[in-house]
Amino acid sequence: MEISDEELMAFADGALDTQMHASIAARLKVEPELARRLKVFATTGHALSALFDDVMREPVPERLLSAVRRGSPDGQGWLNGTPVRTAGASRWNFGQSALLDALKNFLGSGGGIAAAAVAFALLLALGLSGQMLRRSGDGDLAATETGLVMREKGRLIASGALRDALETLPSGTRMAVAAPQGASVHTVLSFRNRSGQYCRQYEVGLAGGQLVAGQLIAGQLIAGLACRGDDGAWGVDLQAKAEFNAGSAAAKAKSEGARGEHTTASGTSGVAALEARIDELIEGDAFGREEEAELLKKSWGSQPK
Amino acid sequence: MIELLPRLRRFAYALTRSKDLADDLVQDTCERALARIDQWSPGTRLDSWMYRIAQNIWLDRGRSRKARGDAIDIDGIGEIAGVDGRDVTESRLTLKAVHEEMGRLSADQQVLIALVCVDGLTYQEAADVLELPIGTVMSRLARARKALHAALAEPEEQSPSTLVGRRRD
Repeated sequence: MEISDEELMAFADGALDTQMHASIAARLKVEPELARRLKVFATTGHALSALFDDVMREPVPERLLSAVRRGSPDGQGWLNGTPVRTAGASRWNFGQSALLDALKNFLGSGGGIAAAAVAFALLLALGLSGQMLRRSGDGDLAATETGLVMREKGRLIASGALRDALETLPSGTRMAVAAPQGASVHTVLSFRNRSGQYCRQYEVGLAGGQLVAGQLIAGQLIAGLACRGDDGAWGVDLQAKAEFNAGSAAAKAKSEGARGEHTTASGTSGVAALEARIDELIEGDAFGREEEAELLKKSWGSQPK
Repeated sequence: MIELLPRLRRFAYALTRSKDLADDLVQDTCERALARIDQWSPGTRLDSWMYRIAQNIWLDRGRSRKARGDAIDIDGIGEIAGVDGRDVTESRLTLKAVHEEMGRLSADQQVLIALVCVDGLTYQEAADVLELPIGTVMSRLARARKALHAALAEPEEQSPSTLVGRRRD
C-alpha cells in the first residue's frame, strides 16, 4: 500500500495513532525510498520551531504590552475567558491529555471558576504570609477544599488543578487553569530528593504572569516546589511570589521558606531561592524527558492519589 | 492576551524575517483584536482567533508585497522536490537559510508552516484557525514542506545528511 505524503508528514510530526505509527515505522526499516521521502518532513517539522525559539525567551517589548493594556477592557491585558490551554516554548514535548478535558469540565461550570478564584486568592495570601508555610500543626483551613493548595494534617499540599498538573503535566509545559484570572500552571522540572521522594518545581502565573527570559512579563507569579509523599500527596516545600512592576521591567519578589526564612528583594530572587533549595534537596540530576515520561505514565510509582 | 504575546511574536517572526516587522504585525494584531473583541466568542480559544487575525493581516499585506514584486511564488516546486535526492544538511538548517527560503514560499504556505512547524499547532488546530478542512490543511502543508525542503536542499555544496528531525516517540 502506498503511503501518502500526508501520512508520512503526520508520522514525522508524531500525529498518527499508535497502530499506524508502528506500521509505518516497520516499513521504514526495509524501504529506503520511504525513509528518503520521510526526511523531507522530518527536517521541516518540529526542528524549525527551535530556530525561532529565542524570540520566546526575549522580554516582550514594552510597546506591545502597552498596546494590549491600552486596548483591553480592564486595562491590564487579560480578558474574561482567555483560552483554556496555552502552550509555551516546549509545546512539542507533550500530547493532549485527559487533563485538558478534565480542566474544560472543571472550568465549564461557573462554580469551578469561582472556586479556582478563591484558590488563587489563597495562594497569593500564602505567598505573603510566611506563617502559613511553616509546618506548624494548626491544620484546618476549611476554605481550601477546592483550591490549588490545601492544608492537611498540618502541612500544605497541592490540590485541584495544581495537583493534577504535578501528577500528569510534562515539564516545560504551561497550562491555563482559571480563565477569568488568566492563570496558568507551568511545570518546570522533576527530580528525586535525598529521601527518595519525587519533587517538582512549578510556577503558577496569575493575570497572565509568566517568566520570559527570567523576567516576569506581566501579572504575578508564584514559583514553588513540591515533593510527593508516600501517600501520593504533593507537599509544598517552598513557595515564592513575584509581582510584575509595570514601572520598571524588574519584578518585586518575596519568598518564604518552609522553615520560616524570609527574603525580600527585587528581580526574580524568589526563583533563585527556589533553585538554591533544589540544590539542597536534589539527588543526582533532574529527570530527562524520557525518564520523566516513564514516571508520569506510572503516576509516579502508583501510590493512591 | 499578554500571555500569548511571546508565541505571537515567534509566529510573526517566522513570517516576517525581521523582529521589528514581527512586532509591528503583533501590535496590529492585538489592536485589531481588541477593537473587535466583541466578535470573539468567550469560551473559544483566544489564541486561534488571534492567529486568524494575524494571518489575515499578513495575507493582506502579502498581496501588496506581491504587487511590488518582492515575493516569489514558487508554488509547484513541491512536485520536483521528491525526485531530487539531495539531502538537507544540518548546516543548511539555520535560521538564516530557513528564513530566506520561507520567504520564497507563498504567503499561505508560510502561514501553514509558521502555525504547525514553528508554533506547534496540531493539524486540526491549524484548520480551525484557517477555517479550512483538515484534509486541505494537511495536503497544503505537505506541499509547502516539500517546497521548503527542496529550497533548503538547493546546495552550494553537497554533503551527506546528518540531520534527523526531532520526533515525538
